[in-house]
Amino acid sequence: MAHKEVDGLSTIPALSGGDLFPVYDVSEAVPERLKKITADSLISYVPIPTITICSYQQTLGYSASFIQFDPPLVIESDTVVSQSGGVFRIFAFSEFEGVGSGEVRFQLAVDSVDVRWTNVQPYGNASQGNASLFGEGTMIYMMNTIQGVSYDIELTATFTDITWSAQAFNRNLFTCEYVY
Amino acid sequence: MADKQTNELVTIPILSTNDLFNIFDITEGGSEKIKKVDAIDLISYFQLPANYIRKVTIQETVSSYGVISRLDGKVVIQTSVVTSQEGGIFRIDAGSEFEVTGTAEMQLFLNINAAQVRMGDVVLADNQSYGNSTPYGADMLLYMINTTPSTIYTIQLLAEVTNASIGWTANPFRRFIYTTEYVY
Repeated sequence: MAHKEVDGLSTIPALSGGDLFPVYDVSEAVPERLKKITADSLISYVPIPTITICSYQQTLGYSASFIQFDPPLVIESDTVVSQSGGVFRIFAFSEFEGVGSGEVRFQLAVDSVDVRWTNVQPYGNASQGNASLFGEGTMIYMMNTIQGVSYDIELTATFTDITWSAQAFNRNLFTCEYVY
Repeated sequence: MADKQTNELVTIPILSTNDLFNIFDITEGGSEKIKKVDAIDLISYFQLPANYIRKVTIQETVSSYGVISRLDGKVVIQTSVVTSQEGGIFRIDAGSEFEVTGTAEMQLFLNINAAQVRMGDVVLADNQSYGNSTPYGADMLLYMINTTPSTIYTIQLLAEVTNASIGWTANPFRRFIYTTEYVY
């Protein structure tokens, strides 16, 4: 903002939170009256969209082995506190290594509520054999957040084949809060 | 924020968009004059960050859409109508999960203003060990487009059952369209 002189009065390029602005209050059905508001109040009207926090949880190593009928195995978790309220965008994904012809499915939960899952991922074939590595679909989930509230985010895995087993690795949870 | 009194003027902690501001108008002929602007006009003078998120629209329906079969063709399972705030880029994330009978398979499509812009893989419902009524995730569709200020965009997520047997059906649920406008 350019510095200028108006009727001998200096304008200031830098605004402090306590500076007062004269304002005509027309919110009441009465003749206009002057009031003053602080710069902080004025600035609060300016939308400054931003990302308040990003949390990235990644574990490259292998999870425990899991088989069918096991309860969903938590393979990655994160707790994120909303900084100012807004929207969480959560990405979750993992890869896995199987034994035999196993199949894996991953699920995403927020505060213990299941919110998203992937398709069942068939594991390999005869030519690939045991110990082959497979990637997985990425899950996305978005939700409104409340300032100061803590959210528990969990990535879980289940095994859907009758006989074999699998281990998850490269497990990721990536959460950002958007304010707009 | 504390309310305080200065001279004969009253301060208020909350600003209304109808509030008027005195500003010196020096844009015309060099002669200064005082004019009033409202809060919204004043805000437009503030410089925003060069890159930011202008708007996020979450459109999600957790409940089931209803049973669809191959004979239904493509059906719209979620719609989101979003207005661009000031132009930029829409990032659209869309997807759905589904529950099947038999070995039904499903494919997702994304339309913008009735034009198809993205399609997912055919997602096979593997019921070897799960059987009927098993929920399955499906592909997440991502698409980005340039936007024009104040233009309305109609975004639709469609599903189609593609299996050979017309007797097997799918029932989409957790249908979502997330739209984020980035300005840069």
